[in-house]
Amino acid sequence: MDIFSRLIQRKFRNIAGERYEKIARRYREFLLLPEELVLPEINSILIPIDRFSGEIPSELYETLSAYSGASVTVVYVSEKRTLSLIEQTLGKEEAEKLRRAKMDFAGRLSREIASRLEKYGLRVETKHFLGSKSDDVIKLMENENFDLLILSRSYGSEVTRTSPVSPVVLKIVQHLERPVIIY
Amino acid sequence: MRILVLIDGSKWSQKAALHAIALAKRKQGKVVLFSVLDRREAKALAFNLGLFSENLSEIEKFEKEIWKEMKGSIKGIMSTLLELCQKEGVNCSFRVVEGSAKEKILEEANSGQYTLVVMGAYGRSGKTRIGSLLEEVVGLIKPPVMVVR
Repeated sequence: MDIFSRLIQRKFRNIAGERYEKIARRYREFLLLPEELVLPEINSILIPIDRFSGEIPSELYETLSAYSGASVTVVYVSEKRTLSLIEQTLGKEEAEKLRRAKMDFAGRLSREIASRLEKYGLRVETKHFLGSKSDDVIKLMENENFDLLILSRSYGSEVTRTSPVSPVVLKIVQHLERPVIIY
Repeated sequence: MRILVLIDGSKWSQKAALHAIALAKRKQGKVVLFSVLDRREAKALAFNLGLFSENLSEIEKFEKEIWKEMKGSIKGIMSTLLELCQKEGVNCSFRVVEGSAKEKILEEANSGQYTLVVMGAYGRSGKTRIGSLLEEVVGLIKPPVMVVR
C-alpha cells in the first residue's frame, strides 16, 4: 500500500494535484493497483504437449521446481481435424491405427515428463485428448482455472528462422489472462 | 537461479516483476531488473509536443526534458521494486541501458546468465493487443520466457 501510494505520488507529482483520485480511477488500466501489488501464488500448472513440442529444457525444470507442491497437468493434444482427414482419405482402419500410435507416443512422452516433474516435488497428472490444439487449451485454462500455462514455442507446428514461435502459441497467448511460460 | 525482468514502465512489466520476485523468493534466486531507454522515443515525443503546441523552436528543450523524465520515471519504478525485493528478502539489482530495445534485450537475455526471462504482455500503450516488442523478441530469446498479464 505504501509503495503504491509513493509510486502514484511520484508519477502525478505536480501534475494531478487535487484531481489525483479522479485520474487514478480513470487511468487504472495503466496503474498497478494496491490489490495487485502482492506476490502471486502458483498452485496449478497446465503443460500441453504434442509431437512438435520437443524436449523441456533443464532451466525450465529448475524454474518449475520453485512451485513444488503445485499440481501439474501434462496433456497431450492430438489435432482432431488431422484424424478426420485421414479417415476421409484413407479409411477408418488407417485412422484407428494412427490414433493408437498417437496414444502410445503420447503416453510415453507424458510419463517421461511426469517422472521428471515428480522428482521436483510436483504432483503430476497426465491426459491425452483429441481436439483443437489452441481452442481446447484456452478452454481448459479458463474452465479449470489453472494459474500458469507452459508451452513449447513449437507447440502446434514446426518453427522456422523467420517464424520462431508457432502461430498456435501466439493465438493461445493472445487469448489468455494467465501467465504463460514459453520455452 | 537468475531471473531477468524486462521493465518498460508499464503496469504489466511491474506485474512481471512480482512473478519474478515470488519465484526468486522460493528458490533463493536473484532478480535482475532490466530496462532499455531509447532516445528516439524522446525525440518522437518532443516532435509531437512541438507540433501540437505550435512551438517547434523549443523542440530540443522538450526532448531534453522528456529524456530526463523518462530516466527519472524508470529509476523510480526500479527503486520501488528494489524496496519490495528487500522486504521479501530477495537478492535484486537493476540495470538501465540506452539503445534499441530489441537489440539490447536480446543481448542481455541471451548472455547465458539467466534461467528465465520475465516480461509483461503489453507495452506502455495499454491493453489493446499483445505487445509488438514481445512478438518480436519472444522467439529469439534462448531461455524460457514468462509472459505476464
